[in-house]
Amino acid sequence: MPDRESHTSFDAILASSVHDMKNSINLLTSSLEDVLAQAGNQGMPGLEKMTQMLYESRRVSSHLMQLLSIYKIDRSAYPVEIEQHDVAEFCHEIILQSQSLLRSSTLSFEIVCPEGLYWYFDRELVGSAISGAINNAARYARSQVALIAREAGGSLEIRVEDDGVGYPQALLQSGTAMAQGVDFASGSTGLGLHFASRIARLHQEKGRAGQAFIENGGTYGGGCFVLTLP
Amino acid sequence: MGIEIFQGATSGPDIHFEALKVLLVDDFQGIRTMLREMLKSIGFQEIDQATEGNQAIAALSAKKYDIVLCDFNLGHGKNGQHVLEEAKIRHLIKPTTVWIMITAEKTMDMVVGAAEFRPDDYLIKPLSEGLLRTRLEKHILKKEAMADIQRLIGRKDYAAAIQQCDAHLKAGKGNEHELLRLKCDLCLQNGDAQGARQIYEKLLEQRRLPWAVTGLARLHFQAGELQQARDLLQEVLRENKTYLEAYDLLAKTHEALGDAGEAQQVLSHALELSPNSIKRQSTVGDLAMKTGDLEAAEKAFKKTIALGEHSIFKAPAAYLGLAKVYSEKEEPDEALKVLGTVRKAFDESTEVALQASIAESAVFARDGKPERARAALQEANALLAELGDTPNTNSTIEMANVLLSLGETGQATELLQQVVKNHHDNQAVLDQIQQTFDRAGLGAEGQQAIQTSRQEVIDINNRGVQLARAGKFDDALALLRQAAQMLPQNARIQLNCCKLLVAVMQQQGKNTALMHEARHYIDRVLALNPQDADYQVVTAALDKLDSE
Repeated sequence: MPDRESHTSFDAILASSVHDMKNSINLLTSSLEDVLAQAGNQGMPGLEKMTQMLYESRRVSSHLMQLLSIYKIDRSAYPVEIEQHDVAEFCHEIILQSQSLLRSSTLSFEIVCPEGLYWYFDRELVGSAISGAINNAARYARSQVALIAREAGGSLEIRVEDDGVGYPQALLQSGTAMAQGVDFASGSTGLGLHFASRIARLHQEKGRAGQAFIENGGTYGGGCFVLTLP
Repeated sequence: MGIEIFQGATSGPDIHFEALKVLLVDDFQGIRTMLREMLKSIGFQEIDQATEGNQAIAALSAKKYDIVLCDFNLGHGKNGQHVLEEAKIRHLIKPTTVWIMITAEKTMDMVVGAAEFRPDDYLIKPLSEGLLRTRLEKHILKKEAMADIQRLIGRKDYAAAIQQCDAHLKAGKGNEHELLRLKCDLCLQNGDAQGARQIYEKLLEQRRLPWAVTGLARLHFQAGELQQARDLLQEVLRENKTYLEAYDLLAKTHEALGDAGEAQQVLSHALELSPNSIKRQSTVGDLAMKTGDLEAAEKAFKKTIALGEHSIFKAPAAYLGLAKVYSEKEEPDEALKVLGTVRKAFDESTEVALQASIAESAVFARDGKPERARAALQEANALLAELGDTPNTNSTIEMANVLLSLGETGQATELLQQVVKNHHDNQAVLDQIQQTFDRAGLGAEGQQAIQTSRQEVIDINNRGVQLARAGKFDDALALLRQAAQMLPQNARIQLNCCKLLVAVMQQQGKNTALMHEARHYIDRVLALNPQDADYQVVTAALDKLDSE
């Protein structure tokens, strides 16, 4: 919502436009989901194309949401709420949000998380970073995507792994740089990773901060997105 | 140990959705239709709808709902948070009602309210049916599991509720963290600061949680350990720049440390982050008055009034504050106009009219119109007689101020002495009264009057104790009963009267009438000062008598 009291700087115009675009994209996404749900398993012609459209619109929606969150975090206008959550429950909820996409594709999906694991984080921010990573993995996976959460070295490690060909070497090398800022030269803004790094660093405990990075390998030998939270 | 997804979607826990009543509040027809379809597909049958805040309040007044799904942004008028606050204060929802706020994005405005006015959960749009179902299931089951504790809280039986929390914790029933947080709140409600401190410290061993550090700081603040409170709150804010509760408490701490300017600065910063909290705006107004910053006070009070339009927290204090600002800016006509509106804004309530009349007399007195000031005071006295009650502390001091400026020193002193007697152990109030005398050039006389009245109450207390020790219970009771009735706002007297009744019953046996009387006094203590250190001890003694 535009704030009447703020200056109409370019930043503010951009933020309010992003907000507006996000709402439009969300309407488009839910219409697409409706059509796909109605089509069901009847093998509607063009189903594959529609799934592709859904993936793209979800990608835009998730990026706009992340942009808006970064804008607000920069201005201390985002109510960060680091609270204790049931990690397994959190993972299931993430998948429920991506339900429409995973259902209409032929991918098989797996959650690996021990019961009774509790951790401290902002549910919405971490959820947004992980959903973005799942969306990305679904795009590049051949047939498998996994969401893995576990405690490792006093931190919570959340991994999104796929069985695709993995990230290109150039991207892996510039990954850290992208996490720090936008790399226009590589042609990819790396917004998802940048966002994940920003929100990871909001999570601090006893001088340790969270991190986000990408690598190749994991269970299926494909691309891996990794978020660690102290 | 991979888990196949989607299997849980159809075989969830056994909940009879069809028996639960749902209210759906959203200003967009499209969204309402979509949510309604989702709810029907989950299994709900009784689904009512409202399109805006007042309609929602009407629906909530007519029926007790089990689930409320409410959009935060409802267009013009009340927003979702206003509706929730009103529903809670007016008891329009049950303790077991699940309230879910739906929103396009998380904003600072959504966390303005105190913890007791938070919804059970937020859902960020776009919603999926699966997520809606999971969250509803989770909260329905959680409320069900906590129903026994909620029932005890509803009866204000906090000690039993705490015991029940312990039973849940021991049985591993429910989320440990949430139970500890609830238990902590209950300890505070019950005046058990030590119990609350132990929980905070236990939690903080695991993690520096901002709410727990802030809670610990609040305990330091209440114990008068202001430096410790300040240091802890500054620690919280270094790492959690958007944690508003810490700003509010830090401002109070600075104020108690005697630095109103610093307090105002801290709150102004919090207001930049979240300008829509009524309470914070009105506190900033009060602080700005203290530091003499009339511009800031005017701005804050105007904003407070505007925010009050749709809120259950609308209060006359901001109007009175704004009138005072205008009066001090030598704009008496503006001041009187504001005092005219406050009467209308509160439906001509006698209590508000009383406060407005007192404020009017102050405006006239300052404007050099003693006759009109006297007339306004007369009106106030008539309203006072109609109410048959004492006005609140601030209004009484204000009234005394006017009388002093009119040269009615005797009457003013009498009023101020009455306030002293009701607050004989509250240094902040005593200071305020001394300042009132000082401004009228009556510093020495004032000091004498305050001292005499304080001593009078102390003497009554001491005499009561002596009589009781000497076994003269009837004489002691007669003395303290009379004092308790004359000084209804004096927590110490109420408490001692209750203690005496307990002693009498311990010696002479339980008695329904005395038990009832004792409960009356202890309830007053809780209302006047929930953190009174003796409250818990006396309540425990009463409970023990009750169970014998």
